[in-house]
Amino acid sequence: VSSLAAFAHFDPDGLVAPHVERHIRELSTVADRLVIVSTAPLTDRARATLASYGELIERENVGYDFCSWRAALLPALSDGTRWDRVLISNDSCVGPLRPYRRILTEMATSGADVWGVALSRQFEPHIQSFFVCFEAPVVRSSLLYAFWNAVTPLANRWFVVNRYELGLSRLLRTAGFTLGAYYDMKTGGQPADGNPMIIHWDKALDGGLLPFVKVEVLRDDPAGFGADLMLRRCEERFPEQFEGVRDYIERTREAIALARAGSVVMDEEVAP
Amino acid sequence: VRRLRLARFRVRGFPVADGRAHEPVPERLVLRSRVFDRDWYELQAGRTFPDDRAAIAHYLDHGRVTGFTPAALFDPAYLDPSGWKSADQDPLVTYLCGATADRDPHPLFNEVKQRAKTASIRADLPGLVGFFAVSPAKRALLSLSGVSWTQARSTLVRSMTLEPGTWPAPHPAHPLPPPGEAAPEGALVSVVLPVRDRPLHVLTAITSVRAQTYPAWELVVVDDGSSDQTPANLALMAADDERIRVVRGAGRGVAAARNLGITAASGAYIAFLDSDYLWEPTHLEGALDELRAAGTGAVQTGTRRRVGRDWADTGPPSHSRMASGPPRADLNGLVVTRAVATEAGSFDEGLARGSDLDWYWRVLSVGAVARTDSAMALEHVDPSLTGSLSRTHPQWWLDVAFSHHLVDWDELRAESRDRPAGVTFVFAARADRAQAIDRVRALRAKYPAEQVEVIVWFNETGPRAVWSSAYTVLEARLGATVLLHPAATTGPSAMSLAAGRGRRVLVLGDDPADDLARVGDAVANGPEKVRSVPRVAGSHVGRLAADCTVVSAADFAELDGYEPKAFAGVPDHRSPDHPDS
Repeated sequence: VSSLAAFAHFDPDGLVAPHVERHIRELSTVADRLVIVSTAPLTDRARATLASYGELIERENVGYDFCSWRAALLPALSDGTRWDRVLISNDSCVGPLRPYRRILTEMATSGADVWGVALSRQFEPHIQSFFVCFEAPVVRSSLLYAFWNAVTPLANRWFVVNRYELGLSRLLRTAGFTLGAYYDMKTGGQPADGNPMIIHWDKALDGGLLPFVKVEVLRDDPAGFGADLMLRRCEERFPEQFEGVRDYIERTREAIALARAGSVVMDEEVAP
Repeated sequence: VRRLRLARFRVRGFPVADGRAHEPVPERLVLRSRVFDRDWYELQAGRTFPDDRAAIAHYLDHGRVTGFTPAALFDPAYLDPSGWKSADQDPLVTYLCGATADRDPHPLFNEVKQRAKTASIRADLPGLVGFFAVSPAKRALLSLSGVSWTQARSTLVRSMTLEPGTWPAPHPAHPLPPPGEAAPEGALVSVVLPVRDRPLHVLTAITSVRAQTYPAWELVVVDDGSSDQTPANLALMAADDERIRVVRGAGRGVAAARNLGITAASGAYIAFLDSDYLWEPTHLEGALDELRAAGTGAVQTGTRRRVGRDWADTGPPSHSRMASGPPRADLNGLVVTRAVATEAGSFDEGLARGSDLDWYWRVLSVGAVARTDSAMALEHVDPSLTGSLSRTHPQWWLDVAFSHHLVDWDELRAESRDRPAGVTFVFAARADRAQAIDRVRALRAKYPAEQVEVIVWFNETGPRAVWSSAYTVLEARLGATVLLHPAATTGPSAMSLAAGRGRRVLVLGDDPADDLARVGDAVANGPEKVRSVPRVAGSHVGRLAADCTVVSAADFAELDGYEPKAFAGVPDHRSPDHPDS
């Protein structure tokens, strides 16, 4: 299986946080070609770190992660290489708490044409974009290239979520592709409405049943579980994977808040 | 040429003396033009005049205030949208004097085409004047006694509707069924999809067509001047499926794009899809099944739109819906035979917006439209979409409705007299959406929708209003009907009535204090307790609401608020302040 992976990176200080580097390193183990796109003002050290794991593209910080993935994927999808699998991910989460190779192996039996970590029922069922795996039937259809070809920068985060995150699942579902999710497969699906990364965050503590924890959940605590409590539990359960996360959250809190302040967010929206 | 004709007309109508033309006398000018339609005017004014001169004098004095038009196909607001109310001279007089250049007085009237197809036109009279002088439709109307306003209007509109142009021959493999004839199985459906600068949305729309369970379709995508990745993506899709054809439009707007698509289509059926919609897989199959079962020439499927997390039904237009809020003529759920499309004519490319609404109403005038909810067209509202095929000039749906005179108000009146039992509870929420939700929620806790219908109207329109999730809550979760209107006129009251179904109407103002008690009274009291409202000067819902009045729907229909032109925001012409009251 030849795999192409694209990773979107941003850090307000131009650094590569420890948990981000661990994520990229893990991703590189399952990708034949890894393209890292950074919109951060990278330091030389950070640049060298990222470049050590794959091809590095630095671009202006516009258009959110979808434009970064576009920059990575369009050339790779049109250069004549026959890919069997395409993965996209970003630095918005801590993990994977289980090896990618194990996750990919387990998902191979699901029959899903496109899958992610979790299916969110917010707004409409969709794969959350912080990790998406496109299997061969999708990769070989013209729709995947056409989708990325259609991505353009949008003004705010909600617009991006509505058009691209929801729109990607909608397009592929309409085309008849099967959508799946690792967490759903392991738990038999979630009848509850809402975002599992928020309401089922604690399933991560169960041996990584939910193999990622969103940094946003730990920082903003949208469901009111108690941010410090959540982070402590994670650190106790996965000390290695969460090393440096507390420092990262504190270091970036103000910059992220400022960036969010300029972005229109629907009143009911919580981190799709 | 027009100036020459007008000069001849002026000379003939107003003798020249001492080398100088006499100052035109407006009444005489209008009278001689034969454009003024006294029957038409009396229907609008709700009164009779002793003769044409009196009616014309009334029109010249009050036409710019009341908004009453001199004839079915002469609309001052269309002729001069920005200045007709404030102009020194009456718009009809201005037109007759030739000062309106090349503008037409009505979107359905095109002087050049009308002259080309009407051999008997009076060449010595300027365009519209000449046509009106010899129009067979007009002669027929004038010879009929008891002709209704609706009959007059529909006859005139039909007689004046432009030829749709040259339509291509039907697909040879599938003979063209006439309107109303059952559709042959397996007939080709042409899907017309106009798009500009929506490279992702159109992908989903096209994909939903390719996923249809009905296989005999062709997709005509009209790219109306895209400047982004849309053409590249369309080329990709066309390369994948030979049933997809891409036609390049000239960027002239959605009406022109749809006309181009229909011209390029070869199917026996025409279906429409917008780039931000998608069809459920059984859409075409379900629509054609219903078309065959009903034996009609058109079918409307269900349509829904998603705003945020909620879905709202956006059904087909009806007379009630027409009067009850923003346009809901959703072409995405409409499938018609080519014969119906041909008879309905081409989309009006002169309309800035609402050409779909206008066309839909013409389809309705051709014949019955079957209805099925077993198939569905879905719209996923995307607030980030900035481009649109519609022209940028904001001409809203009421303009279309009134300038085209396609609202059947007589039918509305008839409907209001034949309603199921029950109470329709109407209140004005102004802009306080939260209070409106509280009021309806409290009411719903006691009275189900079958017992008490709730209509809430708000003084707002526009994209922001349409987007309000409060409206979705009111409609989808609390079973209320939301009406939007931009200003506090008598219009909303009539809109409320038109949209309502209760035989009794309870109208309340802003104060929610006694809602339950008053609704309880209205529910408990039988029809015999309903207070009859006499036709009195100045009686409209705004005044009735002040003391909470229950009226019968039939009486309600006679109130001034039912006057169509009242919707346009003109003052109540029977108010005490009006010279004619």
